[in-house]
Amino acid sequence: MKNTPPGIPDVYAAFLHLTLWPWLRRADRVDALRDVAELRDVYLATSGRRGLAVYTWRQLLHFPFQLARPRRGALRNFPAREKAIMDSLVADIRIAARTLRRSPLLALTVVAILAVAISANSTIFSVVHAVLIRPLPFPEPDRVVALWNIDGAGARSRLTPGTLVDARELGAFEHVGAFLSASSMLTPTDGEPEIVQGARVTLGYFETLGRAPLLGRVFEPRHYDRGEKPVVILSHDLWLRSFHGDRDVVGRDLLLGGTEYEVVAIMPRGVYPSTATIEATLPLRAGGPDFWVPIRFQEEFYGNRSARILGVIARLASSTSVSHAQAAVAAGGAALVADGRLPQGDGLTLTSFRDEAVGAVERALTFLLLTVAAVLLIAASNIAALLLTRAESRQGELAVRAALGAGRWRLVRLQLIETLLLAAAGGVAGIAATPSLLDLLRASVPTRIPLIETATTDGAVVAFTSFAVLGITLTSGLVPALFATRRGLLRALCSSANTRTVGTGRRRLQSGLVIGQTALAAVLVVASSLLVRSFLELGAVDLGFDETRVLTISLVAPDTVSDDPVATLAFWGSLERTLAEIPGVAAVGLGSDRPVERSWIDGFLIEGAPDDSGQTPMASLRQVSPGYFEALKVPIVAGRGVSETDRTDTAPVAFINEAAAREFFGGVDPIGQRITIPSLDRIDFDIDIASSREIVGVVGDIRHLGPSAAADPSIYLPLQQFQIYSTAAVIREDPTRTDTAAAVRERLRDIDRTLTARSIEPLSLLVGNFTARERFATVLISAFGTIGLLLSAMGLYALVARVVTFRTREYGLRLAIGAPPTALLRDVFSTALRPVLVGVVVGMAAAAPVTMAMRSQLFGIEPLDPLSFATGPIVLLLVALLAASLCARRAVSVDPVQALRGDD
Amino acid sequence: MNGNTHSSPRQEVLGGFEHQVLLTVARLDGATYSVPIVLELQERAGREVAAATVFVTLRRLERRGYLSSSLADPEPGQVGRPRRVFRIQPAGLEALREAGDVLRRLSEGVSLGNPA
Repeated sequence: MKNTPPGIPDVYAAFLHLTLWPWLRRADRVDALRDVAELRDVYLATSGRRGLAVYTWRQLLHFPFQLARPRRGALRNFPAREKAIMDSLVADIRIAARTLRRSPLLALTVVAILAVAISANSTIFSVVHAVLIRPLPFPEPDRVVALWNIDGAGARSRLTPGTLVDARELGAFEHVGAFLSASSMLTPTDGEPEIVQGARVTLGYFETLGRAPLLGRVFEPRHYDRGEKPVVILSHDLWLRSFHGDRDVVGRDLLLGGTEYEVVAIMPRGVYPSTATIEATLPLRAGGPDFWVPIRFQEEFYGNRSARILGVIARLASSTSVSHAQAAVAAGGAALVADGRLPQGDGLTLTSFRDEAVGAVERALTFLLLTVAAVLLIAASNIAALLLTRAESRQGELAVRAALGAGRWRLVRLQLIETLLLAAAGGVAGIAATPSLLDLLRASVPTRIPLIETATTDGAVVAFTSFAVLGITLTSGLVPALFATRRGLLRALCSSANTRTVGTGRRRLQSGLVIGQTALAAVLVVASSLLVRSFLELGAVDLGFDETRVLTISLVAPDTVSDDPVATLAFWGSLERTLAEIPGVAAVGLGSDRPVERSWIDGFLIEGAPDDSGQTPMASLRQVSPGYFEALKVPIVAGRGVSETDRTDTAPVAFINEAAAREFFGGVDPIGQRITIPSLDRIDFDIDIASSREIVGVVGDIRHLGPSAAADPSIYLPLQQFQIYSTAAVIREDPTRTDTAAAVRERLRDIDRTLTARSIEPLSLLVGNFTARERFATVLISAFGTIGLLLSAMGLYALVARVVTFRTREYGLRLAIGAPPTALLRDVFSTALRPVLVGVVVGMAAAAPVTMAMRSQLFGIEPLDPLSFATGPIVLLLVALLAASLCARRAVSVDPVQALRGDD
Repeated sequence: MNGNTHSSPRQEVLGGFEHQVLLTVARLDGATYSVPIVLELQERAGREVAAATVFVTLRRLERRGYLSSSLADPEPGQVGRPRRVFRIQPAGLEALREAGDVLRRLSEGVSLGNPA
């Protein structure tokens, strides 16, 4: 919030602004808040954080009353007319507060319902606000775009260094910068070495984002020269984590991957792209990159037009609009094709950086917001029904007020103020609960929702909640208020309480509310059960390996061997044998990547096959050790698995998965066929790596990318026939042992202390991350759906109970003259079921378009899944039957004599 | 809704809390701001009030001419907004005297005795 002095939480500041508004002008409020902040500092110094928290809560509760006490002249100088209105409003608020105090149970119920619904809304809204609404944290974020290569089929890919140079000459951009992901070993002078993730960036990267460093200065052009001393910029998080926020770290040297780098700057927290995937997406790493170093390509590398490796961002020139830039980029791409700098059919395109960063979660979050809004609507209509009931019981009071000269508007206003007080109390309770709910949400959230860590309960959230409170007041207060003040009020004065047979209109209205609630609840139930079913489908997919009781750890070859590829291979071989000997290790293997990670995708040729399609077959390429498939329980379908004898000095071999066998060999037996992987020749390895290999085995499919992606065709090469600097170990535990992870860690530390720079993680945890986003959405939407269902069940019960109470005399009479109890039961049940049936029908009709819109969020299930659609009516009818049977017992146990004699 | 019959707002009777706040300003050398007043009230009157409530009251007393206010000069090294400092005016001292007289006159001859 603007002008909020440091030391006051945003919510508190917003609350103070709101409550001080009638008393102080804005400038005065800012002065007052300054003093509040100073006083808080005093309390913090004298009573500590706890004391301050206690003081804050006491103030929150007392402060509005302190303000309201002095009456005359207390308000700020409003114009006379407004002043009169304010004064009469204050009077009405007093009356309303008194009235509410007389029925505390009703007031508490309403406040509790609202607190639940409002806190759900404020929490989800604060996430939506942080992720989707708030501008990205750098200047003019709308002018930042991502640049991509695009082929004739519309598929995007990253840019080559050559195209980066071309893009800078298009004239549409003020800055263009590129980046590559990087990881390195940070060895602090004290403490454990740590693998840090960062980015290598070109000139223009920081200029495009436009963020000023917290300390120091961003890279200067000379820093990109190979002759210069290596320099590094640290992220705020790494600076705090490893350097305890020491401001003197700028200018000092640190050891990164064995090389000394001079720290030139610390960047503030924010959104920084650090990697562009091969599918041309820009995933934001949770917490952002830890460091940045300049890319120091040799000059000729910028002539490279085949290596599509760069993620590129650009800032539009100030005079250029996005559409103009898009046109310029398309034209520029065409020109590049024309002079042969881009292949035929290719082109350039740009996308907004915001869409790249948060576009993927937009739909899921919008659904979530709509769900909580539906819960709020159900709550509001519930409260309307409660107030309607109460309006009935205070006809007498209102009639007296009307007789004494209160106009209808005044009576309506009085009731609206009562509702407003209730809603505001619910709002305050809801807001108070929001920060804790947000923490809970963040703790359970997958890291794939970018920016969620920045969600706070700030002014915007308070404003949103205030709107919700006003909305509730109008929707649930106005109708009962109008109903209660209809003409004919005086008649109510004349009629005695026990002849209340009027109220059909009101009952109809209440039925209408129940219908609305039921319909909304039906939609929620259907949507929740669809998501649950879809999630179960996702969980039931066989990934092709068994992740239970498998540990995994990423390893980087220690400095002692990493200079020599032969020594490195020997190191991996002995490491695998050492790990296998640890008690508690049932099987162990090493692979180039963890099984749940994307790997290198490359083209290959089947030797002897006619090259007629013009399409190079593509497969993902992994290197694995002999124990790898066994540790993961991946079946060998044909031929053999990787063996100890597959070394650089033996025949070069390859293994493929079933998907590759199906796709590229059709009915032919792949065993014994030869493939060539041309890029192995092109890469400048230090040892001789054969590009032509014989296929000696077919293994089962592994869904490396999770259950929602089919297993891609894969080629596995023996680890010992490759040059490999970092690996991932997969370790199957002996199911009877519990200390395997600790034993492995200890052994690794004994070998080299840098080996434990990354943590040992259960593979099942990583597999769980695949479905984290789906689980998150499913759990939340089902939870909110359940709340909605419970609230609408309450509303239904209230309706039936009320009807039964009102008809006690009638039931008694009917029983007395010999009506069978079943007739009364039928009556009660039909009262309950009729609105529910109508509501269910309306709800089902409304659910269809909703679920169709959810299609992209569903896996393995149709939006109009009959089972899910059947769940809605069944659940709601069961709820209705339960509500009705609770009331029915009361109806048939009416004592006729009591009921007829009773004068209420 | 101006219910008082006095022609000048200055002569309105001091409310209980206003009286305490104004007295505290006088006690704190006649020029102060809300934070010391809150601490002083807590210390001497044993009542916990919010800084914002005191601020509202100070502003109101200023409107009635009992106080004047200005933004303080920033102290060396101070960051952020300067504080608003309130000074007692002759009318304020007069109002305090009057309120004190009223209390004295009302107390005259009243035997408070000891609680039973």
